[in-house]
Amino acid sequence: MTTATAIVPGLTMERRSTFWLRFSRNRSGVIAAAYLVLLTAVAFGAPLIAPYDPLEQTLAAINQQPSAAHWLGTDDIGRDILSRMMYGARVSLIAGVASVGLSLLIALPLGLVSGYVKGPLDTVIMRFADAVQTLPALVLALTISAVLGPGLRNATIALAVVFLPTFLRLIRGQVLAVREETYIEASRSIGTPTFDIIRHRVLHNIASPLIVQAAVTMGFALLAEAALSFLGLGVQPPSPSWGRMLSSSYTYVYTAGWQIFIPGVAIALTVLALNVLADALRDSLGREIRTS
Amino acid sequence: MPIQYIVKRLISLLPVLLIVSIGIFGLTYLIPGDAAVTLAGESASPERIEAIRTELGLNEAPLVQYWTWLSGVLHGDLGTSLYMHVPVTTELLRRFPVTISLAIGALVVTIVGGLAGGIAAALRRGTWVDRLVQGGASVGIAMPSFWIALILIVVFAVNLGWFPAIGYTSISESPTGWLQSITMPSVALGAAGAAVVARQLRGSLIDVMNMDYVRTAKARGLSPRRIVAKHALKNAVMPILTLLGVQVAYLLGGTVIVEQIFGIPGVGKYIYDSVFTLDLPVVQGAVLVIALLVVLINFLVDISYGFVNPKLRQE
Repeated sequence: MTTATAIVPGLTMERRSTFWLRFSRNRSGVIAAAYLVLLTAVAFGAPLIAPYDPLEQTLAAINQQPSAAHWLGTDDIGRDILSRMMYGARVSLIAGVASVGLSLLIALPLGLVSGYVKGPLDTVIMRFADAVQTLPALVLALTISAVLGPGLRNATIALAVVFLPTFLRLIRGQVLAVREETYIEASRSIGTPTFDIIRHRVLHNIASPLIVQAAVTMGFALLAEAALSFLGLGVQPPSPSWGRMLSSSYTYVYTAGWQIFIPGVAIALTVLALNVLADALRDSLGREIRTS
Repeated sequence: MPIQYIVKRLISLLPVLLIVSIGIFGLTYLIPGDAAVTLAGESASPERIEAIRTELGLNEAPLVQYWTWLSGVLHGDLGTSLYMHVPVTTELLRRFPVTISLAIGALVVTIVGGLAGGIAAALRRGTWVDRLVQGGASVGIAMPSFWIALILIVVFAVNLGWFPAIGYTSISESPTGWLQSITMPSVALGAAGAAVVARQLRGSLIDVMNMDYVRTAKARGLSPRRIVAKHALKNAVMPILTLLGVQVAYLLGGTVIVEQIFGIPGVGKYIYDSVFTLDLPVVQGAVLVIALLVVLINFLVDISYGFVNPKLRQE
């Protein structure tokens, strides 16, 4: 493997350690990553740490302001908002990770083939991407998830479709750039099968921009899932989700206006963290080729 | 050869439009189970189900259905609402001006906010103004438009009473009433765009400000204000043009949620209302028209690029 590591930038141990070194120096990136780790822990540890059952109604205590018993107050039917926020975080995270993951799963083979093999298949795939992009993201996601039927799974599928063109274009563009590199040509000339070249060489070199884009897209997925839930298409009640909580707090905007700030801050903060993380990753990844 | 360039661009749009039309038509097939039964809703009579089947031509072969639908569309006939029984085209024409006025309002917020923020940050690079704009832009991008809408309602409608919380007044009815009803929705819809534009403009202005011709202008004693206004902005604005094309698509998508919150009777609310009743002709018609609009706007952006930069016409 020594020859391989020497030829292919990106397989060396050095790369990994320089990445961590750079990333750890980026203070806002570290804070964002820490926040996201904490949020994930809270979301999935919710059954253990949530102070109340998120579905438990206490009609004697509705729309209460934050107190020692209910840190973030209670909603319109007396459910503990903090507990609902914790469980709701799951929905946001799952929707974000699953829609981006699904989209990548489809875009990766298509984009690689499109960029590496070119030809008519490439044209068809790219025209398809163009077509998807003529529809505003929210309209497309709303239409697909409504037609498939409301629910988290269908919302996730709809979002995955929305993100396809971005990933397809990015992967294809990267492949087009990488395939002309000398080391790919060298690999081809010694008879390495195309599939192996794509898997071992091309994939490694497009990983960095893809990771950055995935983080940005996850932020967008979070926003879009919240929008779908807000409109009533994501997770169905009584399951808590941040978008749904925002839309129900809207009903009580005259009596308990402060409630809109809790899910809103959580959504904005999480999206911000993902964007900051993406910036930090962009700055820490992929400069190895230039420095080595 | 601008004409040749325009024609070439137009022709390249055809395959994309064809795929879009097939996709929108194909929505019928995405509906799980028997589409006619689902569309008729729960506890619908067999006659009603049959009526819908006939109305949508679901008995015919898919290709025949598509052709019938497409030739209708090409003649401006988008079908009839399954529930309101009003021709979709009529309703869309009635609602379009509302959505367009909202989109223009949001675009004004995007452009004015983006230009002001971007220029201020670039001119005062490294100062608190710059940090404020950059921080504000990061937060603005992360805030969902519907949350901004709710905050605006709580602050300016519920607490201060400056604007009506919901409702829409048309411009012909009362220009001031229109302005009042459109202000908060426009801000909610345009804020994220303003953040994106501000960030991009700051970056490209700083790049341009480092160029030789700007240094020459500085050396000749031009004030920074004048340099930005007369020279730098012209060159920094190119990437913004592309960005605005993307932003318009984003705005049109956002109208679905913003119109719903503010109770504005535009195309967005039309889509929202029909999506839940699965009023397919309405959904298909409205989505198709929005797609056409996005294609048209991106086409215009492309063309304007070609005019500004002759190199692009050669391709």
